[in-house]
Amino acid sequence: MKRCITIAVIIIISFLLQSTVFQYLKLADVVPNLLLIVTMTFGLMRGRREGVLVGFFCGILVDIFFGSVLGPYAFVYMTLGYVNGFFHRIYYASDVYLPLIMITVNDFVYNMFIFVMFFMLRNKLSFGKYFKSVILPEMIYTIIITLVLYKILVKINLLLKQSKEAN
Amino acid sequence: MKFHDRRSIPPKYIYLFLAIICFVLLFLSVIFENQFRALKKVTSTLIVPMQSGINSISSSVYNNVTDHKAKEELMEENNKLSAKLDEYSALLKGYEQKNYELERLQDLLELRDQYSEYKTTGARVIATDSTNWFYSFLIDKGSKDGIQVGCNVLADGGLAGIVTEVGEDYAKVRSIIDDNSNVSASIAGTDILCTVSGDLLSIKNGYINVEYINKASEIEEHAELVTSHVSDKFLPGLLIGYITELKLDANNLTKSAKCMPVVDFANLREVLVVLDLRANYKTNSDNKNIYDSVNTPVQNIDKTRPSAIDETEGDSSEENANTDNQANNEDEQNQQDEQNVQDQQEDQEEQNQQDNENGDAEEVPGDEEQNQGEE
Repeated sequence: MKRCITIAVIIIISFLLQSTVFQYLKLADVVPNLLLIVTMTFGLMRGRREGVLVGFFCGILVDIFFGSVLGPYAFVYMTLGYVNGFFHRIYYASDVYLPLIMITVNDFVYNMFIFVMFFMLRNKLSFGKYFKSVILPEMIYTIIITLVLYKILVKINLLLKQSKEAN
Repeated sequence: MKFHDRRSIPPKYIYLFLAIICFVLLFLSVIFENQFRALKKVTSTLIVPMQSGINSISSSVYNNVTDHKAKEELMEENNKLSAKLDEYSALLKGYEQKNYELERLQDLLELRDQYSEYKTTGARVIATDSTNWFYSFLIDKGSKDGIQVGCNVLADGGLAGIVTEVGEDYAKVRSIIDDNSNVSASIAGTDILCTVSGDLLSIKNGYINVEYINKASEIEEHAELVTSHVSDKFLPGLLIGYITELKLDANNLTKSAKCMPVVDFANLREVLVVLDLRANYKTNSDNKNIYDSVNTPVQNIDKTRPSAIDETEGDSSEENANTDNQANNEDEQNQQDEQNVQDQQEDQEEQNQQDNENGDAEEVPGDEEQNQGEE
């Protein structure tokens, strides 16, 4: 229960930061994808079950506020959360390289999904330009934010674990 | 014990279950758009107050930081100016200052006069699209303040976007630079029609695309681009931007251009929402609509030359159909492929040629007026 509430608060806070505060902190005209970092981190730390659930709720939040239909973002976030869950078995808390590699791949796949779904199907095919102006800046900015946010999330996870064991 | 059982559902079934939910939601939200308002309402009452709170804090922090920067710049500038002051006479400076103020106030007055005929309400931008692919944003006023879907949104004295979704105390605005946005526009002071479509790659370079301009039309560089009279979503005469880099398309039928929007989308904080909808907009004698000048000559001919009825009526109705098509072109997810549009343009071209011939033979004043762009 405590875990559910904490995760819900984390998801809402990252959504709020992404849509408000980071609009003032834009670098190269992009905002980092905090919700993807949260999805990736919980997928890695807790496995497929939590990855898929956290991803679903992150995505549905984006869908409700900024999507024209419900579903597509929820689907891409939960799929990424689920796939990240497979890497749970090679995860250990002090590893730095795994989350960085994972977030790079995740963000690329996420943006590819949006590009294919919302741009390529409308005959906007210049992938190179979109990659240079949107995908690459977002990947770099997200990686930088991951360095900070990942540490915080790992710590929160550790505290939750300890409080559960204490009970 | 039951709790333990529930935990043992394999994650792949959870994944499958949620994936099915996603696709069901996708179809249901397309088919039953209205029923999903309830879900949106629940989440938005939770999130929107937080968004507007956090946004006000961060914007005040941001303003403080920029104010601090501005202060340093001002002090530097002040030093330079005081040195300059010795060079010029104080009197001249005073006159210049007054002149500048006069100009500025005149500009302000004109701007107010431009939009005074519509009822408007100011609103603050509280959140921006969290993906980097689209440019829609939320404002802090909704149906409580009289905002409806389809309301036009202005900022910096120009068109910023259109309301696509309304909640009780928030509204979602799709800006004109969004990749899905298409606005029917015309060159100010002429009948030349075109379509302004937002494009993600173009706006990174600071402009939006203007398409489907008739190739025969002559447009000056930096001509004013305003919303057109044929649009059924946007009020006519709202400034969009200024045209640059006009060029002939590869199809040799239409021209396209770039448009510098007047709205500074990177620093959009406050917007003005026009509460009057296009659907309710009626033209009066002061603001004459183009339809009047097209239809009236045809009626005259009906009376004077009964032999010409069939041809001219047919032409005028098709002419209207063409303008309707153009109106339909704009807005919403315009996924019409380009071939269709080209065909349409070709049709229009042919149509216009026929009209020209008719016009020459019968001297129909209305048709000539309609075709002046093409000739």
